[in-house]
Amino acid sequence: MSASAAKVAAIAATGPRRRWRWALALPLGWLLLVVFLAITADWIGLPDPSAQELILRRKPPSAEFLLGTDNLGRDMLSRVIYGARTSLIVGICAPFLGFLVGGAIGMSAGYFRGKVDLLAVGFIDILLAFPSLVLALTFTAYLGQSLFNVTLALGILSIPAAARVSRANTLAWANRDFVLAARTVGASDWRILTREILPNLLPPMFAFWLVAISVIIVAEGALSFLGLGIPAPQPSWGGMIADGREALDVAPHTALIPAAVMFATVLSLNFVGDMVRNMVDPRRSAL
Amino acid sequence: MPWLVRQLVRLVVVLFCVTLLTYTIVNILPGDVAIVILGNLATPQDIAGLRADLGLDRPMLVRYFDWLGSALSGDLGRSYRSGEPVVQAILDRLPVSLQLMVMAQLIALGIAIPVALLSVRRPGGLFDRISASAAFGFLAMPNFMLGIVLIYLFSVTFDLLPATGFTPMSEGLWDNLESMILPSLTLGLIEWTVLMRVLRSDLLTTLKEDFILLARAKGLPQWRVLLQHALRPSSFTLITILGLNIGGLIGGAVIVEQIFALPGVGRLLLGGIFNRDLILVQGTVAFIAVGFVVINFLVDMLYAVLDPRVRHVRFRS
Amino acid sequence: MSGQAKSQAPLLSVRNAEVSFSTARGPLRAVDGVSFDLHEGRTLGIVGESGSGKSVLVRSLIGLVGAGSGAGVAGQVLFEGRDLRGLSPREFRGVLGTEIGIVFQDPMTSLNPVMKIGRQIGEGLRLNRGLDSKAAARRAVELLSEVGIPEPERRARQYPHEMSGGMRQRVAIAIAIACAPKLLIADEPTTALDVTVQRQILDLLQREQRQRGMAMILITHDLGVAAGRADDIMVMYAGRAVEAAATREIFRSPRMPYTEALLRSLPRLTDPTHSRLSAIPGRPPDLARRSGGCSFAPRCSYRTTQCDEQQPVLTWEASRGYACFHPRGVEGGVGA
Repeated sequence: MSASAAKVAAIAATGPRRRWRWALALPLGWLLLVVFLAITADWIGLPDPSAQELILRRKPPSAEFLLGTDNLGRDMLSRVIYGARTSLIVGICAPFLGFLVGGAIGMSAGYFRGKVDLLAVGFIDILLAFPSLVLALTFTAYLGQSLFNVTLALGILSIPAAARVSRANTLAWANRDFVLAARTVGASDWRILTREILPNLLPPMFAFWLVAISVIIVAEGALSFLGLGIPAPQPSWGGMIADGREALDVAPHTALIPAAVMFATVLSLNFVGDMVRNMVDPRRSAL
Repeated sequence: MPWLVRQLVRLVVVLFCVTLLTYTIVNILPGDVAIVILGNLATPQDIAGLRADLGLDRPMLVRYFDWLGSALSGDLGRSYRSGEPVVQAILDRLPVSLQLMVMAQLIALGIAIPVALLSVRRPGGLFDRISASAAFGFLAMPNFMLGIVLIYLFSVTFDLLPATGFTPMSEGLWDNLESMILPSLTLGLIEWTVLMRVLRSDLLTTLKEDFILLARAKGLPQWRVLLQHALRPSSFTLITILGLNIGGLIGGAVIVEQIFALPGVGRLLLGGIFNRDLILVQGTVAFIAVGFVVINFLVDMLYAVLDPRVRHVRFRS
Repeated sequence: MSGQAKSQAPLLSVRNAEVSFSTARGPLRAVDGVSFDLHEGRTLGIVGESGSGKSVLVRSLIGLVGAGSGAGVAGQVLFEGRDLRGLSPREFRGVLGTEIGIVFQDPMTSLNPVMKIGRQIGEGLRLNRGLDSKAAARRAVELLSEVGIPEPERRARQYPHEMSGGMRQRVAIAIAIACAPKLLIADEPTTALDVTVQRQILDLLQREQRQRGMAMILITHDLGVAAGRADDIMVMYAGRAVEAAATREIFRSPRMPYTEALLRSLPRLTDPTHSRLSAIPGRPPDLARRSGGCSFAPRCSYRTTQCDEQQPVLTWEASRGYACFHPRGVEGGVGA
């Protein structure tokens, strides 16, 4: 994703200072809460996120409905939590998928150089020639809307970024002494790639993955917001914001609550991702 | 090969691949166009007939070159739904999208440049820290979310600006601008953060240069040193990012046009997707991708114009 | 310098100049209590190894080190009797732009790469002398031809990268003298240049200085460069002035062992060909970890316990000063 590369760099540059480290507790706590609720959603006595109660529609937050109800009288708290589940599944799996493919492409390109490199870089360039959201739209439009297809489409979009990170790092490691040493004792390319180079790629890839999660969560939100992401009754933050928009004048909480939750999550992810990158790569050169 | 020629060749190759990929995505992915058009109840004969009419029974590569041939002569086919020529549909809506993106970039630059300049006056100072935090915050705002929040603030709460709808420029410049302010703000308020950080970091590097010391030694006041000596040599990365970010901006425009009901190219594309209007989608995506590639190419050229050293290397040797 | 019995007040008078930086390893005193006077029309050579604080000293005098860079600057700087450090930023810029010109070491980095030569020269004129852009452009061309650049009209419209290093340094000199300053500071003006053009640049500087009656501070790590050009020489070591005297005196009988060592490392015409130059053993001290004694002691062949324990101060003997317990060529000094 072309924009995300610049964005990631900007996130890195705007990162918190060292002395703010104590402030890490807040975003980390928020993320843990979101993850915990998303995992345990089925067992903590939440009402069905799809159960409609039209008499109780657009109720503001109260003791009965902690976050109020939406246009169709569905419990917002429950929808926000199940929405978190959607966001997290897509946000974690899509970059992972992209990193499997993109990582392999980048490693081969950086290790074998020559024609492989040319081909890989060309392929990345072509993917980057599309505005990422437009490509995602086109993919989901033709693949059909489902959680799996959205994940697949966004996974494809994370290939270029993953390929770039792994290629740059492979280039840097492939000429180190220990790799040359492995080669002189007759280790196969496969062995060198998996045993010598891959372990060194994991830290920067992990740091990048953390930031990719927030980028992908936003992208999933955008697709769902446009009605081309996760299909209807299944809650998704983007979809909730789109629904809430219709009642912005009478029941602003229906849009603003999922918006605030999404903002807090993305902000926390950026914060933590940046912190991890500082630990993994103080020079931030991998990007 | 001279630099310019090499770049042009590269441009043509990328454009070829991009259109081919567009064509492939639209044509290879599941969902037979004929079935999509005729619906699930169509008889096999009807489907076969339509496929032949549309030329879908021929190999894809052949069809691609056909399509490319007419595309090059300015014909992207006709919409299945409205029968309107796709090129015409795009051109009708292009000015709205362009206005949106230009205004968004102007807003982004209008915030980013002064903030970056003020930040580097005292790196680590109060202003620098506040602007860094603000940038970090805005960067975490998805555009569809910011759009809704802006509508809530400016239209619902204070009733200052229209929430949705578009007024063409022909019906009054002010009304037109009024309908474009919130959409452009939605994009610009996120975009500036990236530009500001890039410019700030390049400014800090430039300010360590000897020629800045020399400018100070000439007795130039700080603001003139910043504006006349530091800004231009620091803006090269900014311009590259400006080009790269147009991809994000186009994606953002699709969303913002949808939120604010602006009749732009993005909304045309969305409509095409919802209506399963394949020819329209294909033409629009290809148009957007080609436009994006060409803009990036032009940005590269601009880079050369701005930096006399690059111009020297590229155009004279 | 102080030794010169000039009747009028010095153009530039520096007392106890100090510059310190705070680093991760603690405070670092790059310039430590340096004083000197410079009279109109005279040339002072400031000589020292890299890191001796000579550049930092001079840059701090004209406010190019200090505010914003986290450096602590102290001491008194009088220019034509005015206390530069007490001026408002606006007044100070006025003095800097009109009365003081500076030429930096590397003309590759000291000229703005994206601004045309003519404009860079005319900029100061427009700002400080109130010339309009046409007059400034005309004057820029005159200055270019004055500093010996052929086809000045064409060159004025070029960018720095279109010129050779020597030409760029000529441009830098043109910028420095544009507003007819009373003081010209040349900070290692030839170090970054080819040996063949070094001499031309030094000659040009000297010619301009004489014609315009400017005072000049010539900063160099090479005593040989200062030899024929400076009236007086101040030798700096580890942020302190360790010897100051008329150039003739320095070359005839250096007092400070460090100066002596510097002189020995110069090639001489009288040396047999292929004779080895003597290098000074050891390396300059770490300024963040100063000892209590003489900074040069660890590298000095006349070192005694006194040198390790006490810091020698610059003391004056007739027209010259030195900071050493065992001055050379003096009665009572080692090897006298």
